[in-house]
Amino acid sequence: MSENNIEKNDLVSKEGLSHKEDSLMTVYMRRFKKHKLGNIGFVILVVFYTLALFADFVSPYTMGWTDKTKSYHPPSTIYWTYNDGEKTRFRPFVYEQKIASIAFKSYGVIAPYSFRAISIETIPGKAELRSIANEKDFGERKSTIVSDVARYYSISQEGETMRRLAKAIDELEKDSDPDAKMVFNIGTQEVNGKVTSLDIHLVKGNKNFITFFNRGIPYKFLGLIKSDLHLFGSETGGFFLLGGDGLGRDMLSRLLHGSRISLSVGIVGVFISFIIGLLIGGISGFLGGAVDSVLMRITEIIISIPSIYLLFTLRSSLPSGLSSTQIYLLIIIILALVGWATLARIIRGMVLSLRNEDYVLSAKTMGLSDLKIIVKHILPNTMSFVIVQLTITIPGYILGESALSLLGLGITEPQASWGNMLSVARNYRVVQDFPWILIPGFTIFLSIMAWNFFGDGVRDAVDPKSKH
Amino acid sequence: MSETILKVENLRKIFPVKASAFSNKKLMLKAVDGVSFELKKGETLGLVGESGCGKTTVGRTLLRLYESDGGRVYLDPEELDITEIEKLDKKILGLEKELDKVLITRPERFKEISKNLKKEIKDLRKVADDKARDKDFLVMDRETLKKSRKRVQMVFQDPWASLNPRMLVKDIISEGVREFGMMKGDEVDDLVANLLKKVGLPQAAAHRYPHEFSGGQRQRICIARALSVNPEVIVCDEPVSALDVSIQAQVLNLLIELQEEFGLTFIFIAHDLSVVQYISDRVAVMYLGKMVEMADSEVLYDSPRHPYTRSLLDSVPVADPELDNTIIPLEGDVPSPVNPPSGCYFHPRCKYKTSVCMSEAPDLKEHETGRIYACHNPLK
Amino acid sequence: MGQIDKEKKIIEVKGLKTHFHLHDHTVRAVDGVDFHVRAGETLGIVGESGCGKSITSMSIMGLVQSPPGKNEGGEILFHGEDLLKATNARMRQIRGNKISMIFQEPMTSLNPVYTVGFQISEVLMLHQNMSKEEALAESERLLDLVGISDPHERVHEYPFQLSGGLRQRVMIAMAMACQPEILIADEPTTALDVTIQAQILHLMKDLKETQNTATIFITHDLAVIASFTDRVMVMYSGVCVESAPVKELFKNHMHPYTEGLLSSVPVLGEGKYDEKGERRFLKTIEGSLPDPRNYPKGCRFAPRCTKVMEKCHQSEPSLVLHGEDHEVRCFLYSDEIKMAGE
Repeated sequence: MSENNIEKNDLVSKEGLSHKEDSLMTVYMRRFKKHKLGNIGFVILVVFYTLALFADFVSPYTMGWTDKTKSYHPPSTIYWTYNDGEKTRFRPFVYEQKIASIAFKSYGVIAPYSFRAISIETIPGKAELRSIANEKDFGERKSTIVSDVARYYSISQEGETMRRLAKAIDELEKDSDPDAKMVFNIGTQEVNGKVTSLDIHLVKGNKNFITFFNRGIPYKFLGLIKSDLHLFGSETGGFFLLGGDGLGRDMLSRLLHGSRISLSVGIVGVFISFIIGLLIGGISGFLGGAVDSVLMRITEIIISIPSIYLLFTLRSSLPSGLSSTQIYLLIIIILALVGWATLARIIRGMVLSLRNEDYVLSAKTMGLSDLKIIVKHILPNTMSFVIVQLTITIPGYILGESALSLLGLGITEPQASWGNMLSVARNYRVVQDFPWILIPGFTIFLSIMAWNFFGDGVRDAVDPKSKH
Repeated sequence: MSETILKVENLRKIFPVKASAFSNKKLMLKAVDGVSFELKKGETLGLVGESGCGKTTVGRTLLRLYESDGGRVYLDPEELDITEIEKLDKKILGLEKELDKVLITRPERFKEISKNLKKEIKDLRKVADDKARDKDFLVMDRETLKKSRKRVQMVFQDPWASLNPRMLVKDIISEGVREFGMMKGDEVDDLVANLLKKVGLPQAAAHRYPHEFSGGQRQRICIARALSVNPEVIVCDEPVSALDVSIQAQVLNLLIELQEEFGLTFIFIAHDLSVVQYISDRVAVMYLGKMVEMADSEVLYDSPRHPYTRSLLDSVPVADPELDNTIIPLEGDVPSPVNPPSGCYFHPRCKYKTSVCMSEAPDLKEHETGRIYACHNPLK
Repeated sequence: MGQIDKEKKIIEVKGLKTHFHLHDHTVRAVDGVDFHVRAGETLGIVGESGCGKSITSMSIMGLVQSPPGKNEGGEILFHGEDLLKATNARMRQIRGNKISMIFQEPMTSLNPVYTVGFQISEVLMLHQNMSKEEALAESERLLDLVGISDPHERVHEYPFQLSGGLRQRVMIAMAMACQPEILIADEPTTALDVTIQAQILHLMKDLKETQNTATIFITHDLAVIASFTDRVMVMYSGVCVESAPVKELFKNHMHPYTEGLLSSVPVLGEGKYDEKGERRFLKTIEGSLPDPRNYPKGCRFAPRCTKVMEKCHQSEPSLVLHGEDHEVRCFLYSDEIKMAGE
């Protein structure tokens, strides 16, 4: 009989496992790739989160940078080619604009003969010198610039530095290039034992050229690495790709910095909810009986309270004078406390159904304790569905944070978040006159749709019965 | 000279079910209603019946996958002194019968009487269970239970549900061995390799996932898993019902070979009578939670005593077109186990019923040597 | 036995091919099947999972989900009309009316939210233009015909109130409502208990005799084939490997697969030990079914065949007639090779 066995083994081996190894993950990935919307969502999310990670680098400015004279600046039109008299090259620029109508509604390009003096910012957040002189008479222009610079640096107008400045302005005026510029050194300054150089840009003309990988406002990448490299930007300012807000801050930079808050809140919050929901749902489903009843009643109470009100109540009952970071963590915790209940119910349902699967019973015959069975057999098999549920819950958290910030209960100024960027949009006139102020709403919408699509794709990939 | 390796006494399992989708009333579904039998070492006991008869529940309650509602399961009963326990159990049974009668007839002060009876039963049960704590598989504490579990294993029916889809085959097979602390490290790998060879699977199978295998191959993995802990008894719960005909034969042959090689004892649960006859020494027939007949396989198939067994055998189509199959099939549907008929459960469908069948349930007794059955009017 | 009209072939299937085109491979579920059924005759189609028997019946009814399934050739001639070329409207006329089908799972084949009477009436109102009242009365009659007691009350019950056996009877009633010419039964008793199976088979036999319906009975159970059918077709991996009248098949089976099937099933009456007192072992067919995505070259059964020859791996044998009504696809009996278009 044993000889037969060996023969049989060979036979079975021959046809046993001819096709290649296909782990569960490979199967899931292949199915996901076929889901068009899911892939679109995935790409959008990758783009958004990468941009959020490198927000400092990608933004032309910083979160707090403002040009007070540019309140509600419209989005700058980019001109891609520049003719410097000889040939036309790829050299993108935007026009410097100034408020044209007193009624605050429109901007106009400054005269091509204008003169500008712009301080090169070394300390982020410190007010800048942005002097524009567009008087028709050259002399008047010169004196405007000189007096602005002197005032800003608190130097005497008659001093040596200012005379040098006047000479520099004369030189620049004589230059045939209508957009010539130079860097002028005012002097040095000692700040905290470090000697910094005070420089200004002296610019003729009305163009701001956009350069790539330029040195701009310094920042600390992820709070650790000091750098001042920006992906693109205009060294001479005046460049508002998505427009400016009421305080003259660049929408694009704030959008990118704000995305860090708005996008991460969802993920971290959901993670915490998930842990809570897993524990409660798992225990409830497996033990059943009185434990199950009590836990489920609590869960149901939490679910029945309208989440927005619960959110606000929790937030309002907490102290107000908190730092940005503390508020951030607080919001995450509040969202998690409101959101775990739905997850717990779903996990409990799954555990209930998995509890009677044959392989769970088999583990019992092998002497495994209840806890071991829950951890080793039941929970891993809920993973695919739980992950799907998570991707669907994240949009809710993004909205929750936005709602809180919109109403002033969430992230506060000067920290940007998509929610608090939208709070000015509550004024209808603002929206009517300056529609670019709504862009954060669009990005919220886009990120929520991306998560939903991605979630759909993951769910279909993981569900064995779906059409794919 | 084979000894008794397993003794099951009066096994009971009740499932509370809702009366209907909208009511809160709980009805008692007596899935297993007092099943007793003894298993001899090395034999195969076949357990047959149709859906709702409780055969699968017997297997699972035996292994304590469901907590029982009564009864005893002894491993190696001949080495245990169970006379005390049996005396107490008998007393409890008597009291329970009295309680049932009281609840039906409802004499004066029946509420008080029933309350007293219930308390007496509860106390006696506690005493009996304590005495049986280290002998009866169903009331063992966790420590002793863990030691005993490896002696009785199970092969499940659905090859697609009995393997954790997220575990590698080698981990599935070796889970028991590692949990019981029987071996570790390299020994485990060797064991898995050996078992795969024994059940006729390629060595490469160890590192694959269950979904890469066919039904028959998965069932082999199940068998390997059951064998891994060196059990003495294996309960096979419909192990081939979900497989194709040609694969069924392979798996059945494998089971037979392994039984010979390892001296295993099988409880073979199935609804296919031909398969059961092919593999069993003795066969027991169940109906609505009770055992109605048990005898040696050949004897049972040649001359059944219980009318239900007769009908069951008659209903099986035979693979011979020359025979004229004019069977008169058994009338009626299998009644609901929630609301069983009075007296003998089978009487509404029985051709040979008499008045006593409607009022009194027949006792399961060894009316002839080696044959037990429960019928007021057995067949000749 | 009902009258078998030797001349009239109600349905004739020639070279039927139904393939499923999936993302990176094609499954050739039915790959060249020929058979016919005469009036009053019962044809049994037997085979294991993946042999294509269910897809064959679904192809006749036009119920194959397309994509990914697609008919790749052949004809299904119903009274000379090729059903594969019929329009959707025409198929709807035929289904439930001239050709009906009963399925395996009685639990899921009836709609749980409609009464039993409603579901049978639907068929009658659609195909026979009956009014609601007429249809209901006829439904009652049909329930009685299939042996359901108290049809007047049952007709208003919902499927969940009925047991598996009763549900299957209702299915049969629905299928027989318009007195179809062909009844396709796809494993109708596989999910039932053995005593209920006996009842249903008994019922179907009765109906066969009184209604003279041609039946195609699909199953994997050889015993049921033996007791219920007139002719048998054995399928393996999408093709027919043997077909013969039932008595002939059991007595003089020719194809090694048929032989293997017959000897791997335990027979009631044969116990653990044979006459010599030795342990009885079933003769198994070694190996497992081939991967439908990738059939081996040559005869599909060759890898498992005990009588395999060299040429079996080179080319596929053709289905050849031996004797009066016995066809086999095997090189043991003929050297004819299967043509590409077959």
